[in-house]
Amino acid sequence: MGMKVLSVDLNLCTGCRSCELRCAFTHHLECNPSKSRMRVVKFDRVGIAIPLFCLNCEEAFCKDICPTKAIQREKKTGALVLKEEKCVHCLACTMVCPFGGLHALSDRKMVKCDLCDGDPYCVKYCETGALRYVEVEEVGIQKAYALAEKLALPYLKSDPAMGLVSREE
Amino acid sequence: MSAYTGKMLKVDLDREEVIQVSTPLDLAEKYLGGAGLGAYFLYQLVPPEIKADAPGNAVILSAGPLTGTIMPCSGRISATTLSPVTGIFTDSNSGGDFGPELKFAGYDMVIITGQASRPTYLWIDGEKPELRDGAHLTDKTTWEADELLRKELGDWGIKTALVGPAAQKGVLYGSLVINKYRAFGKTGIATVLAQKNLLGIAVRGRKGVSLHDPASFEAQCDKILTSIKSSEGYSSYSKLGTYGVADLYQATGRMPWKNHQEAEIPKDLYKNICVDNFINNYKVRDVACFNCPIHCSHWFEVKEGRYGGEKGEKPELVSVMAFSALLGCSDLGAVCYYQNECNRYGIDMMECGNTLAMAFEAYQRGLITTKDTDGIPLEWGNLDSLEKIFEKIVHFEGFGKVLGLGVKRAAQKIGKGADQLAIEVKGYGMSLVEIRNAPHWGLAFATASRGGDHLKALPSIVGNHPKMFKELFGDQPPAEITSLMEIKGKGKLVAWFENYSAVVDALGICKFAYKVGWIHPEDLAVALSLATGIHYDLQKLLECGERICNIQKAFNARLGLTRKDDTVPQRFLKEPISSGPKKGEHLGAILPIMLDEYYEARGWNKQTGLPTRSTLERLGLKEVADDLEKTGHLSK
Repeated sequence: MGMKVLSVDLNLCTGCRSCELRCAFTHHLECNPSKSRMRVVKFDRVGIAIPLFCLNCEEAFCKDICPTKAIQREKKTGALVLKEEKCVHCLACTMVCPFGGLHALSDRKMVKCDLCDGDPYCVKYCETGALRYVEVEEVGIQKAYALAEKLALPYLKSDPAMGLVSREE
Repeated sequence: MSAYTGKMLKVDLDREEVIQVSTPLDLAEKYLGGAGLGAYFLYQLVPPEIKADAPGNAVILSAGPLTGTIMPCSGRISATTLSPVTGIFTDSNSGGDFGPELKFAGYDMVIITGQASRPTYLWIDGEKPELRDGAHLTDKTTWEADELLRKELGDWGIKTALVGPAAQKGVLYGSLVINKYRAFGKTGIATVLAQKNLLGIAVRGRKGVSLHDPASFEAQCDKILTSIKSSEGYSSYSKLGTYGVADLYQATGRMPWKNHQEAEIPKDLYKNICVDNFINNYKVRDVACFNCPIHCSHWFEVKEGRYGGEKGEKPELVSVMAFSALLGCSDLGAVCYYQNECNRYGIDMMECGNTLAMAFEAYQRGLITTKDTDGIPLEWGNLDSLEKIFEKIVHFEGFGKVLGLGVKRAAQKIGKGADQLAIEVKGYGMSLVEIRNAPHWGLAFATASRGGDHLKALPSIVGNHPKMFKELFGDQPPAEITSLMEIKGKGKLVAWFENYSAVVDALGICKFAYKVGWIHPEDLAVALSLATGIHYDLQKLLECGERICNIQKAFNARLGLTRKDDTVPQRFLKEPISSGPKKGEHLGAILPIMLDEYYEARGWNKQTGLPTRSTLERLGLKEVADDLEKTGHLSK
């Protein structure tokens, strides 16, 4: 089995923050976006919302810097999972992560995306499909498909039976 | 009690003081929260001798128990006050992220009284909410102010509610704008805050909302989410929002062309306004309020024409009606532009449209001339004139000082019978729906506690649900209840829907998602029980709604309102409609019949429209009954 990752299509994100809310809820059983692993930054002026999340890097600075080896690679999902019992709350991981993918709570406890053991809640509750959990090879291919379809449109139109597959409208 | 944060803020602007107190949870069980607790506190805090512009008036911002939770569409919050436009009860409700953020900051409500000595804003951040100098917000558009505060506070996550320059200068129907594109739109909430010298509120929170039984609540939310998404209206609503019914309104004679002189937009012009034109040429993508799977808003871009380059959010059906049909215009780019302008300057788009339409018709009929209008010819569809007169309104100068007062007062100022052209109820412009082709909507407008409004009842049942009908309305045949043609049953229907809408507004969720038929109302009771740990069934929930409606009613009765105020504009009572299913008819004869049935369903006095002691006491409002009796406003 290949490796699956989270991917986002910004054109489909409505900025509803259900991903934030459900992420926090499933991990902490409370409604509190500030405990979410997912963070949506909204730029209202230009109508854009950007969901940010841990990318579970292959070469992970957070894992390397952790003095107690609290961040470990989960075999099943490939996620870098934070072992709470080992974490000493030094925050070093937040300093080296280039993407702001880990977050400290008010009591210094760390929260980090664990891909919900292969069934991410953020994806489950993303209404428009902006967030997806896909094979790593899939991440770029949809954009390529969309461009290809655009270039091929004059030819595709000649056969109405031709169905398009890209998710871009 | 779970779902509530248990704390609220009292802001005393006279003393420049912000104090934290406990949310009265015993009252929360009776009034739920949101619009419910808002109405309760307004009744307690603002006695009839207080005028809207007095420091003694209060503004109550109140989230509901479900605001900010994983319940779908949980982004709503209410603002309740004595309206400066109508001089009676009002509340206004907004979506977006502001309500949830207030809960995350740890507060259910904010009660604002007094008057600051200088421009001020309120910064709510966790433990130390404070009043800050707001001089730099003076005369700034809500968009500029939003950016200023974001820079000042240094956080992309802050949510703002801002008073625009129009309300600061004196326009009575100022709307309190939430993060640029949402608003407490109706009845002048921002004007009251401007009079209090409180120019905005910024909030940021990092706390959570806890639930009584999280696992079961989650399962119930999932059930409701599935119900919403599988309802028959979902696919249209999720693509188009309220705009989606524009074609239906046009086809069924419910468009307010030229201030309701006609009930449809001329066909050759409608092609510019129709749903397809919006999708193909303006809509860019979907945008949602907090935790909403429906995403009924849209990002738009005006690509060409007079307003080419304008970008923003929405428009709603009512925006389209306000700045196209009502004013005899058919430029969708103009609608988009004015949607943004109303948000930037902070005014209610509907009241602005209604007031302009009254003035345009007064001009058409020669009641006013360019001598009265600062030289601006108020001709239907004239975009040059519209731009000039709009400027006058938002800067509250010249003839704009008249039109900035709202449709009723402006018509009174114009005189010469212009009041006959004012499409208003209880002093507030109607939400543009042509009611002669939908009589029960007419009844709902007549009885709405905040004046000409479609949202206090929103009496629509979606789809065919025979079983639900039987549960909700007993043996009354569904066709009788839902048919536009039948008069019978409508009083009962509107009373029921007012109660239900009050519940939804009190819980902090969105009325559009919780339409009867999209969900079963009983599901709400189950969700609330699981969230709070207090048992509610539908009957208890609807009784809370009825209590809320009764205290709103009592507030207005105490100000002297009676049955004569529960009416609709003369145009709908006297002039036959020119098209649609009820062509040739008006509401003159049938409104009184529907009203009789409505008061009966309410347990109020049919002759006077006043509340009765027995009804108030049944709802646990004995003190309110005593209060009304003392002042002579209880049914004898």
